Amino acid sequence: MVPFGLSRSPFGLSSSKPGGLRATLRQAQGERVLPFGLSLSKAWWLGSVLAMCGGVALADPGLAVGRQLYRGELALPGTISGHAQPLPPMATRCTNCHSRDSAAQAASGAASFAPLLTRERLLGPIARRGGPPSRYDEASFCRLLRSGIDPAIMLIPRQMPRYAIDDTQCKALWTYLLDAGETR
Amino acid sequence: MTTRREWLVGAAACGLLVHQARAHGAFGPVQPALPAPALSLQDMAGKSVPLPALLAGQVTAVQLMFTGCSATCPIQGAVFADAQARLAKENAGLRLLSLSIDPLGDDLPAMRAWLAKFGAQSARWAAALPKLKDVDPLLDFLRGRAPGTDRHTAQAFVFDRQARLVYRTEDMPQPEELVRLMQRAAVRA
Repeated sequence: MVPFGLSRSPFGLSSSKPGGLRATLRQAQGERVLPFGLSLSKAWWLGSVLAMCGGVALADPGLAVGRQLYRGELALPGTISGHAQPLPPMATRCTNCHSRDSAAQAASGAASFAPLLTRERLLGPIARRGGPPSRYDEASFCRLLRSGIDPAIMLIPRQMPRYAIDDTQCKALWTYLLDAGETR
Repeated sequence: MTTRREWLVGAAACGLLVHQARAHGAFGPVQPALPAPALSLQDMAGKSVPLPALLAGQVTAVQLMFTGCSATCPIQGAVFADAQARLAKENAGLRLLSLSIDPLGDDLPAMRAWLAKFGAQSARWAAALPKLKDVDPLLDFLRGRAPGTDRHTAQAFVFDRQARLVYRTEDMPQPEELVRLMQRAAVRA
């Protein structure tokens, strides 16, 4: 059994093309060679390193909290501007609007309802809502979530709830998005 | 004596006012009240019912939605759920109606599940599905069309007991304000 699903590669285990001449020679010497010229032992080593990196990323409590907040797995109280009552958690998930793959989009093939929160988009400089070019930092990102005012002092649409988010949660969300978040 | 410059300023001001009046026509009282068009809808029992018959006899707040909409529709559902709670103390003549704009993607089970998600009580909050050919006329009549993925505004549309459109709210109205509008329509009707 080849680890990490490499056996399902379209190139197949016996193909020498991806690994070139060196891989062909190693195969001829009886060594089992994977696509891209990787031996089983090297593939295992590489996989272990990648798994360790992934484990470190997941082990970061800030990232994990940020991801849970973004996906609505941790409730984030939000209220529509001008309303007295907070919305139920199902209506305040970031992914409801800032996502490529909502059900509506899948059906229509349309773009995300609201901008995708990529690192590039956040760290800009980008002209937003008719304002001058601006970029977010953690403080302006948190202010936007709480008050609806963006870094260029422009008001975001009312459809986006104003969130009762504390500093720790906001830092976690910011860190998660800068770490490429949902757009990895 | 009026100078040429004053005439020009006056004309520009008139133009601005006309533009503003048009822009504000998207919400507010509808005068004169507009009779609901005779579009055919499928109610939650699966029966085909003309829209005027569905609305007649009660003051109804209508919203446009579809079950696959993840952006504004959960907020609209929450607004109606809050309004439903406030209507609990009111007489039975005030009710809520969610109309799907996606008859291809929505069916009765999906609509029932959507209502259940927000705790809709059948006596107070119903839903219905238009036919595909009637979606555009419905959006045009209500002025409920919006650009983007969701295709519809998040307004509520208040009908009186004669099935006439009497008020278009702003997007995502405050639930307490929506209930007040319905009460006012009930008194007038």
